[in-house]
Amino acid sequence: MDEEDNTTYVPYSKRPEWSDIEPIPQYDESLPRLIHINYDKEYTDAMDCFRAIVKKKEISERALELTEFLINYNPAHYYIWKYRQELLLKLNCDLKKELVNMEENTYSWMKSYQIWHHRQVLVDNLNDPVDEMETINVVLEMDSKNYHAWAYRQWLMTRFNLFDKSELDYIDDFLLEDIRNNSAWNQRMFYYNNRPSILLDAEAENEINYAIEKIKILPNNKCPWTYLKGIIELNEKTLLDYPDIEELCTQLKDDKSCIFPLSMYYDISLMKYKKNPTKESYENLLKILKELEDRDFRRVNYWNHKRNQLKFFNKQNDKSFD
Amino acid sequence: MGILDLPFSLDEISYNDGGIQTESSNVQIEVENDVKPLIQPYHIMEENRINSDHIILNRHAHIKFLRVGLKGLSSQAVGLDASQAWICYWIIHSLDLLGATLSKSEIERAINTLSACQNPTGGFGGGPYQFSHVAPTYAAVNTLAIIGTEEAYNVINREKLYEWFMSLKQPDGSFQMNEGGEIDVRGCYCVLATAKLLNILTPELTSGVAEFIASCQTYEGGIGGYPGNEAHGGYSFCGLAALEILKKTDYINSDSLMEWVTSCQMKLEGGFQGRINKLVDGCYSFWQGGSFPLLEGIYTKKNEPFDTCGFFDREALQEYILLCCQNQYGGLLDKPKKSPDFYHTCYCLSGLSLAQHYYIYDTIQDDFKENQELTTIVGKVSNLIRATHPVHNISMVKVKKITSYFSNSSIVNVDSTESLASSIEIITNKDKSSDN
Repeated sequence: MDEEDNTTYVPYSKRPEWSDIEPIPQYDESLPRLIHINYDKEYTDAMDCFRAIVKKKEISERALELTEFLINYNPAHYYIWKYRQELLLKLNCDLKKELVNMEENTYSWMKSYQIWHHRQVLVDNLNDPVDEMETINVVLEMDSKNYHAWAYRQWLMTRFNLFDKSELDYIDDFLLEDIRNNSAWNQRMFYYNNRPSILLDAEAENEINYAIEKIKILPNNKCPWTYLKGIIELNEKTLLDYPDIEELCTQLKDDKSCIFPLSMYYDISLMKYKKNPTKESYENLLKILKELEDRDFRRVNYWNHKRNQLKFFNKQNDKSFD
Repeated sequence: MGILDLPFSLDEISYNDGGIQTESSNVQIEVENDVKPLIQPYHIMEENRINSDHIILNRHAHIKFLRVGLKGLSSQAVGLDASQAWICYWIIHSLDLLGATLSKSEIERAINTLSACQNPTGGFGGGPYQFSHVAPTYAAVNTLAIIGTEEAYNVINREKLYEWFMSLKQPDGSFQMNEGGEIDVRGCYCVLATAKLLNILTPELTSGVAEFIASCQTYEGGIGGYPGNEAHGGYSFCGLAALEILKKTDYINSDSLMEWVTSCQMKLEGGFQGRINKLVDGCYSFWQGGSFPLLEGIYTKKNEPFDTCGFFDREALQEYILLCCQNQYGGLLDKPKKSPDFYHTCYCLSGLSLAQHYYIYDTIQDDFKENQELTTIVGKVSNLIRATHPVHNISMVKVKKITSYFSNSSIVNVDSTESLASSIEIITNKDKSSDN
């Protein structure tokens, strides 16, 4: 607080309209403690009054104002948020107005759990998605991988059945901007996995082509490769049902700067091997693993584990090709 | 393995953006440029290379940084006002890993502080007079377990705490973080880890949790906070550790989780990212690194053979923590150019501990134990810190101590061998209360 504020600021405990409140200090000062935060005196004063309000279970306008003051001081205060929610509901406040009032705060505190949960509680009570999608859009425009914002978007879509096809265009815009945005890829999977209608073969085909297009733009990007697998699984098929994908892997697998096509090629070859284990295909698998180990040196142990799993398969199926 | 002895120059293993520059690749390259000069002097291809024996953990500086935190925090720390129980855990766990002994007065002050955070419901709030929340409850119980005295254990009101946990349980098996609060995989881990230490894991408390967690595993292999959410290191650890407590790790696809979590170890930096195409962060040394002993436990239980060397690059992770995450004046950090804080100090050290020690799953004890022959230390031998428990993230000995202390206490005051009888009793009590 600057000089001027100091002269005009009256602590809550000194305000006439708060004279009935007996402030409660946080700690019993006679007991030595471990944590000492050197709070500003305005904050301590307000918190002492807040504790008294909670003790009285007071539901009032002044309590509401106090929670706003404290939240602005510290937006991570889950229990002040919770009390505010109770106040808003019990005082029959205009929840839509609260959402609008908290707009700026949402942008400032977009990485905090509390602000998102607050919006969720309000919207759930309103039983109306109001303009929440727009708020989320603003946040994602600033922080395109914001975990809370995507999670809240998913909750909102599920709660109000907002699975419009325009969601796919929205996601596509993110991927045109940054093809590596894994949050956007995940949202695409969420869309197909959670909308009320099931995935049709033609749609699966479309999505596979979509991923393949993105792979052709940038093969060295894990997202579309994983998405490809995910869509195929969602469609209850396997990689073996899509010769185009094998063809793609074959084309790209020799590029040493990238592991994903070779890794998927391994998956396909392993599936074939499990159907028809021959010495020749086994040796080919070992060769692929060796190459993966060389390129993906940070994961030597992982590829070694894949080799162990392959040998374990042989043992269980009485194949001894070593 | 590791970064330093690999016969590739750092430029050779740098990020390849394939000619397509986006926000993700730009920030990645920036971080690599910050990391390279810190690694380069120790690199095998460097002329006049500094021997890696000279890599040291600034133990004394870190202990001092942590203890200064116990003396007092500036008004800037007001953002942590609802995380006071967490500050206790971050600092005391870090001190414990570093081998520092807590003084009598520190123990007394810690017990006073945590007692003040406890509510009549048995749960703990983030600070005194704050509503109970499962995250600070986990932090408080873990801290009391690290302190490890009878007086510390006696702070905990097991019966009340159990009732409160049950009140947070949702029809789908998950838990709210607090009454009316958000629901995600953290809640499952915090509740179950606490309940496990206190021997209050009943069938009622655990029912449906594994199914909920399994529904949070995504197409990527990792686990998200809630069904549909993106796979994330923090939630993956919480989910996997909770399944381990439940002895239901077979509910998830361990092969795809393994594929995902190993792919999160960064090629150049050696540390972990929390999500695909995001940046390295020292705290994921624990959140991602913590999955490996648990995954090994799964393969042990399945009798699937694997090589005892760890599934990740243990040297590279230690190199990242020691060379890139230490502040010279004490404290550890997210990545170069960031400031140290207690959270990152705690989870960098916890990750360091997991990378140094090697854990095996003991199918007789149904718990993890250390295989000291496979300890790996980057840098000076004195860099070795205490072994943390891969499920609870408190030192191994402290887990043993508290679980054996409560092993004979039963939640409904019947002999613990009659767990079936006790669960029936709880069910009938529940029926009675719903009749009213």
